[in-house]
Amino acid sequence: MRVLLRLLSPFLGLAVAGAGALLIAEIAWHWAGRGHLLPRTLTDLAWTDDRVRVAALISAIAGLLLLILAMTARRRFLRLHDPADGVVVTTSSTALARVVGHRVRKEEGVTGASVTASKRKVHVRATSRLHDEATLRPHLLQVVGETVKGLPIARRPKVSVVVHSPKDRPKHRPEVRR
Amino acid sequence: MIARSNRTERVCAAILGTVALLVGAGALALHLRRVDRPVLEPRVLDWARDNLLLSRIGAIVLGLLLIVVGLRWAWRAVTPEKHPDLALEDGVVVTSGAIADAVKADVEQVDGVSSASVKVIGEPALRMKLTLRQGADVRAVWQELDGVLGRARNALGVTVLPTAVRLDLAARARQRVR
Repeated sequence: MRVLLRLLSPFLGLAVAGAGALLIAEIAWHWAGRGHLLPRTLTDLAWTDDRVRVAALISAIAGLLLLILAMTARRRFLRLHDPADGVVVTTSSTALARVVGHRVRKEEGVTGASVTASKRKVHVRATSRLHDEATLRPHLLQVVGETVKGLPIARRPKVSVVVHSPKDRPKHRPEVRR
Repeated sequence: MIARSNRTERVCAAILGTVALLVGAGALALHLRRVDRPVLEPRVLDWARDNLLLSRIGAIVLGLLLIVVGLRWAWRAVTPEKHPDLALEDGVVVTSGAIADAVKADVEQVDGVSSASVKVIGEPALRMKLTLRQGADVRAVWQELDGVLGRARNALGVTVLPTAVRLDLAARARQRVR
């Protein structure tokens, strides 16, 4: 999206400047008493005309697409506290997820972990063969909470942990009927 | 290297998109409600004729505004980012590359930083990306940043040095196969 906006920007900018130039030329032409520069179809055109519908649809759809493009072309980053005046420090949510993931995998009993992080939330899915969810989850919540707290993040994300463990499976499985 | 901000492009695109969307939606609404009046409303045209000078000046100002905004938008999108040199007193000029290399060498000395890239983007202003080693103390690096930038401020003889810092945390170390 960022690339698309960058590619479209020169054309959109020139189009806006061209519209401004056309407006000034029309006014200047009329002021000089030479009549109108632009064709006079608009005075005869009524709102009920089919051309109005086509033009209106094109304008609305193009406007909506442009608005979506402008909204999605931003870089998402996590803001850290400013260490000094005029200094802005940011990091990415992927980087935060990596840090949390390394820390969680270091814990005893954790066989694997996947982490998704955003500005608002850090979600950890850990697997363990040694411990069940009831014992491991509070510990991991504390570890992840401390890891996130250790980073100078301006708005601290919420932490959630899920543990998958074979120990949590029901011991007496109902027999499968055939 | 992190790219420069595209805020100007995004804001311009958002404004243009909103205007196009509102105009399109409004025209469509009038069309669907079968408003049987000319698109160029006669009452508005009559008012403009009665206040000819005012409406002409208004239109010319609007046209000039569109030209200025459009050209700036297009120009910003097509010109590469500037990396200005810094002129000190007595006609001494420090090139942007020299400043960037000096800051890069200094910041790479910080414990935990594995690599850095620095660019001069203003007179003087910096943008840098720091890649931190796995297990690096992020808060310590963050605190050390002020020291690094303080030395840069002193060396350049300025009181403020606006800086955008991007931290890439816990990046995997490059492994070389022999």
